[in-house]
Amino acid sequence: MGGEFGPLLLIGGLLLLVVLSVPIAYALAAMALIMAFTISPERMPTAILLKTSDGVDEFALLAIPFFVFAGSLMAEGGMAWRLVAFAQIFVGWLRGGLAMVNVLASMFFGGISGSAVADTSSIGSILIPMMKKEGYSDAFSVNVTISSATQGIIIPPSHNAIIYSWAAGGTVSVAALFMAGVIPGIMVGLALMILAYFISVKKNYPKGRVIPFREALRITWEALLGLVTIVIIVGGVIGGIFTPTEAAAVAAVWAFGVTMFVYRDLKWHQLPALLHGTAKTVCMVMIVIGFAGGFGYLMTLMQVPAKVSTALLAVSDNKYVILMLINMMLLVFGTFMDMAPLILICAPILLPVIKALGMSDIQFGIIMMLNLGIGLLTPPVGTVLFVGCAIGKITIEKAARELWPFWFAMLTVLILVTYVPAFSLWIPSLRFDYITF
Amino acid sequence: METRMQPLYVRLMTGLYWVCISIAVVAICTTTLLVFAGAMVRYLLGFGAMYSEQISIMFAIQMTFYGGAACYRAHAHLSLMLFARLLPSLGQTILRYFVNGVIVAIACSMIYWGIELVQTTMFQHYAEFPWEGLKVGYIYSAVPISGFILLLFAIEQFIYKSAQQFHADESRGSETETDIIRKAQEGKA
Repeated sequence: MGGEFGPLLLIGGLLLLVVLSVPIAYALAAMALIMAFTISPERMPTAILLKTSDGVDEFALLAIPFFVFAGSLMAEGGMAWRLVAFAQIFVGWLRGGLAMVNVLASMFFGGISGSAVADTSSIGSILIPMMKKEGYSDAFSVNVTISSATQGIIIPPSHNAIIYSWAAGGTVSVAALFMAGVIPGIMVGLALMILAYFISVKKNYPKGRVIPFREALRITWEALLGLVTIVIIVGGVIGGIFTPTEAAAVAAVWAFGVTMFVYRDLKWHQLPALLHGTAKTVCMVMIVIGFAGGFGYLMTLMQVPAKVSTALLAVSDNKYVILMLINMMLLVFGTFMDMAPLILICAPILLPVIKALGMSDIQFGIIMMLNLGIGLLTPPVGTVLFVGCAIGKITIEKAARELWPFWFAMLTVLILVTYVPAFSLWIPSLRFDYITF
Repeated sequence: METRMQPLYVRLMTGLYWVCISIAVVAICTTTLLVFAGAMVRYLLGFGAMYSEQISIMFAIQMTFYGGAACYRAHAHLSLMLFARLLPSLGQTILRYFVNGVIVAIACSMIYWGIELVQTTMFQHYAEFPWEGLKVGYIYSAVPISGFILLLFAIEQFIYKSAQQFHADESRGSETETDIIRKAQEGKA
């Protein structure tokens, strides 16, 4: 079993391989197979491969390809600019209207795509040039876009919620996680809007025009067709009509119908390229999930979660201190690694600690996603930051210098969500009796 | 680079890449329709589709392993490149060989133990289906076969250093998040 050093070798080896730029899926596979070989060369590696296959042998996980497919169709099929126009009706006329529109459109788009990078590239490529043309600074335009894009991670549907549910051993309800993400997602949006408003007033950024009623009706009609996707997914899952997987499949078929036959922004000859991109995005996540299954099996066998739990609780038995430590640790990890692998690796390790503290695993899921979402904006490996800077044609340093108020706003929401369970648990508690706070 | 100017091995690997991607695309489209149809049938006709769930899961396994191998060739995998980029050119080359070496080792493990997994499960059939012809081992055969494909892709990378350029050409017009991020980091987006 590798003795006392087994878990250390497993985690240490994984970190070393990841730092040496081995693809995360194969780093997980390599360490799982190496350690399995040392335990029992005849049987264990086969068991690891079986667990890897079992890892993706879950009906619930099929929601991931469907969500990605629906999101790709909506992003490429003209949904983004329709949502921008729709958001303009509500907040475009305010001081700094385009910044507000950016946040609100991201909130809507997050309800469809569930991906911060897709949100940044879709909404950002429309709004960043518009904002710059209207006199907003480069850095502000980029920073509003990237920070608001992280709403997509927690606003339902979020494929990260499905990954978290799986990483937690399937014991956490996806529907409950979807519901739990609503208020924190809106909180992030409101915090960013308030911040954007104050900056806009200070820098005298322009007001947008008031959209005439007749035009507003037309815009709303066009956007509603896409927004029905949110109703199908969220309403279907929360209402108990569909399982999350079924809701995702129905949403994908709906998205296909709307983009190909109603909007018609996506041409048939563009479909193979879209499917190619979708397949790559889906498979790179699924292969990580698969090998994380094998790795997780070995972690359980070596009692890694129990040992980490004991070690963390030895530091302090104060819930708030431990939560602060976990948040700090995740913030640091989030600056270096992508969300999906971090959820897959950290959730099974940290959940025993969370349960020992008497905290809800649903609330922790939201904390984890929000926390790692902040990591996507943070150098050195801030993926959303990189994409935003590329679209805004500014350096990462320039954007990062003016990003701190946005970090502060998001950290404030993270602290509130961490220490006030009602923000994440109130809505799910209305539907599920076992959830209390 | 013109496709006909590429070495035969690279062209073969390009073909194999498209086979893997096609499997993944077919799996995504088929499962979407199956699950959609399953949900609709349940609501409209009042009974659940019997096999759609299990068939979808089988497709998911094929998609994951074959698509995963394709992602490796297309550089569409999640990895941490921060420290690799800090290294000088020679260090980066050595690291690339090391990473390929790790992939070769994993591919060989997938083949060897994957065959053992297939042999072990070849006697089991799916309880969900009334017929016994579909053995669990057939579905798990994706593990050793995709391992073999991964090995071929890793050999391609070992032999042809310029392979990265080929991937960039192939993935044009079909960007994944990693493509967008890589371009952004390289200042091309």
